[in-house]
Amino acid sequence: MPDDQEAPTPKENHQASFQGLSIEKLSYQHHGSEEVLDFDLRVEPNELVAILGPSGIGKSTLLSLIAGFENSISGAIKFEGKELNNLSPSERPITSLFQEHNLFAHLSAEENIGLGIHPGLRLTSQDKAQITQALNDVGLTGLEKRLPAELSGGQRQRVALARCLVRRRPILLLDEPFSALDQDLRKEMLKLVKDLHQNHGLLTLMVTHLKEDADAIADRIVHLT
Amino acid sequence: MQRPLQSVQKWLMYLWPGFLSLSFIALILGFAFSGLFSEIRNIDLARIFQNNYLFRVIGFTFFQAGLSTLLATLVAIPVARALARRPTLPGRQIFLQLASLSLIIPTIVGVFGIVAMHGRNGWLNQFLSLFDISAGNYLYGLTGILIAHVFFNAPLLSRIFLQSLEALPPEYWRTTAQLGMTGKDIFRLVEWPLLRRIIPASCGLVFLLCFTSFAVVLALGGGPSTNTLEVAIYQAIRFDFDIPKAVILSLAQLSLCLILLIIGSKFARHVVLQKTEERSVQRFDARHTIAKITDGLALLAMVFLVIPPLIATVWKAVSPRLIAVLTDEKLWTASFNSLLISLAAGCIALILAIGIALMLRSLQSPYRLGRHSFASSFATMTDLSGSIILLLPPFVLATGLFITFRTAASLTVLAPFLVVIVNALMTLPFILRILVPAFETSAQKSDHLCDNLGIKGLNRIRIIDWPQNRKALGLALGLSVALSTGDLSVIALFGTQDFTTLPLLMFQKMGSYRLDDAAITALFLCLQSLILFILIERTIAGKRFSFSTTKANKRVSTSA
Repeated sequence: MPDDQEAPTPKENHQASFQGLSIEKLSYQHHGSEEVLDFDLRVEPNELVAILGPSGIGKSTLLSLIAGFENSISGAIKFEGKELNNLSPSERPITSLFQEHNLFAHLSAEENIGLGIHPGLRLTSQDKAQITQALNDVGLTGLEKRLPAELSGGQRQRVALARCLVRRRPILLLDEPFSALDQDLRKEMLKLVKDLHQNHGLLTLMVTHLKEDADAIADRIVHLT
Repeated sequence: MQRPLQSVQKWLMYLWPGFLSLSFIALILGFAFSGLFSEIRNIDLARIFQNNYLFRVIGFTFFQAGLSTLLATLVAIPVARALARRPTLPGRQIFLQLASLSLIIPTIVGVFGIVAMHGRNGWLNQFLSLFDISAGNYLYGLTGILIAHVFFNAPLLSRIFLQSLEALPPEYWRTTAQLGMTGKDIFRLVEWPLLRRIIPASCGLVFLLCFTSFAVVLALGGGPSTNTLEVAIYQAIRFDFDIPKAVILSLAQLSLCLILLIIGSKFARHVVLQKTEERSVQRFDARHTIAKITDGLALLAMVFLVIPPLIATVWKAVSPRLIAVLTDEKLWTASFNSLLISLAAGCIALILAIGIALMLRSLQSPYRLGRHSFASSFATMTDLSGSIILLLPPFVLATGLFITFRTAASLTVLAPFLVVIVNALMTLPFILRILVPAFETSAQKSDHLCDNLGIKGLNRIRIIDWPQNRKALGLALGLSVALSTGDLSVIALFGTQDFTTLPLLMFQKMGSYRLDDAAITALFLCLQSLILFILIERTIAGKRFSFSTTKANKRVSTSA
C-alpha cells in the first residue's frame, strides 16, 4: 500500500468518482488475430503497481492501450473520472518509458529531455535550467551535451526518466524498463524510480517479467493470467 | 627464413582468386589506356581551346546532372516520408517493386515510355487537346532529360530513403506521438537529420548516374546545346570519325569522374544492395489532415511521373503491328545476340566479382589476414578499384580498346567482344555490392566452426559456402545479365546493320519514328530481361517458381 498519502488534492468532480486510474472491461483484439484480451484494473493515485505475468499475456499491450498507442474494441480507461479513450497519446496525462530506444540517437541528452518540454525543441533559458535540474535529479549532472551513443545503457534510461519528469504528467508507465541492464544496475535504477515516484507524487505502472524487481519496489503486484 | 615464406604462401592461398580478377581487369584497362594515350600526340590542343565546345559540354553535363539530382531528391523525400508513415497503404508493395525494377528496366524502354507520354503526340498533349490547350513540344532538350532522369532516379532514391526511415526503431514513433510532436517537428528533428546523413552517398550515386547517362541524353537531348560528355564522345567517334576529339572528351570525362570520386570518398559510405523486411510500424503523425494532404500530393506526383509512361508503352505495343514485328527475323536475331552478350557478360562479371569478393573477405576477416597491418589498406584499394569502374564511362573504355585493337582486327570481329567485355566491367560494381557483404558475413559465421571441425577445400565449398551464398550469387548473376540485356551504350557505338541487340534495334525504330514497332520491341526486351533475371536468380538460389516466393524475393534495392 502507498505509504505516503498526501496526494495533490484532486479537483472535486460532480460525481464522486474514483480519483486514480481505472481500466474498466477493456477488450483488445490484435490485428488479424482471433484472440481477445480483457483487462480490469484500478490503481490509486500515488500507487506503484507492478504487473507480472508470462510473456504473450498482454502486459505490454495493456500499457500501450493506456498510453493510446493501441485502440481497444470496448471498455473504458479513466483517470480522475475522465475517460481517456478518445484522446491522442500526447493529450493523455501519461508519460512512458520503454525498454530501449527512448532517446533519439542523433540528439544530445539535453535535446532529448528538451523535447519533453517543447515538442519543437524551442527552449528558453528557463527551460534549460529545468533540464539541468532534471539531469541532477536522475544523477547525471553535467552530461547535457552527450549523445546517447556516448552514454551507458543505464545512463540512457536515466536521461529518458529525466524527460518523463520534465513532462510533469501524473501517470508514469514503465515497460520492462531495465530488463536490458545487469542486476546491480537494475537495483539502482529501481531505487531511482521509487524515489522519483515518491518525490513527484506519480501514479506508476511497471511491467516486468522479473518477480524480484516487482518485489523490490511495488506497493502492489498484479498478476495477469 | 621459414616464416616469411609461409606467410607469403598463406597470402597467396587466400588471395589468388582476387589477384586473377584484378590482373584481368588491369589488363583490360591497360589496353584501353594505352589506346587512349597513343592518340595523345595527334591531339591539337589549340583546336580544342579555340572554340569553347569542350567547356560548353562539360558545363551542361554538370548542370543537367546537378539539376536532375536535385529534382529527384525533392520528389523522393516527400514520397519516402509518405510511404514510411503509411505501411499499409494499398499499392505500396507494387510501387516498391516497380522502384526496384527501375534498376533492371532497360533505360531505352523508360525513355520510350516518356516519349509516348510527353512527346508531341503523347498522351499528355492528347489529353490537353481535349480542352484546346497544347503544352507544345516541350520534351526534347533539357526538359526531356530532366523528366527522364527524375523518372529513373526518384523511385530509386525514395526506396533508399524509405529503407533508412524504416530502419528507425518503432519506439521513436510512439515517443513522438506521446510528446505531441507535429509532422513538421518530426521532419525537422527526426527524419531530416537521418536523411541528411545518407543524402551525400545516395545522391552522389544518382549524380554520377546522371553525369554519365547516355541513352537518355542521346534520345531526348535534341541538339548540340544539350550534349553531355558521353554523347559528345559517341558523336565524335560515330559521326565525325574524329578519334583525337573523342580522346580529349574521354580524358575530360575520366578526370572529372576521378575528381568526383575523390570528393565523394569523403562521404564514402557503402551503398549496399539489400532487401527490405516487413516491419509493423504505427505512425501516429499519419492521421493528421495536413499529413494526409501532403502525402497524397507527393504520392500522386510520383504516380503521375512513373505510371503513365509504363502504361503508354504497353498500350502502344498492343497494336495491329504486333504479329508483323514479332515475326520479323531481325527481332529474333537481335534477341539472340542480346542473349549471348548478356550471358557472356554476366558470367565474366560474376567470375571477376567472385575473385574480388573472396579476396576481400580474407583481407577483412581478422581470423584470416585482417590483423596484418597492410590488409585493411589493401582491402580499401581493392574496394576502390571496384568503384572506379563505376566512374569509368563505358565509351572511354570502349574507345580505348577500339583504338588499341583496330589494327589487329576489323570492327565486325571486334564489336561483339568489346560489347561483352565492357558490359561485364560495367555491371561489376553493382554485383560486387551484393557479393562482398554476403561473402564476408558467411566467412565470419563459419570460419571458426569449419576449422574446428576440419571442413576444408571442396567439402567446405559444397557444404558451407555454396548453400550460404547461392542466394547472393543468383541475385548477382541475374542482375548482371539483366543489366547487360538492357544496355544501350557501347552497342550504339559499334552496332551495325548485321550486328544489333534488342536495345539498339529499339532505338533504331524510335529514330525512324516507327513508334508502334518500337513499343513492341520494348515490351519484348523487358520480358527477355525480366525472364532471364527471374530464371537465373531462382535457379541458382534454389528457389521454387511459385508466385508467392517470386513476390517476396524480387525486391532488390539499394540502400545507404
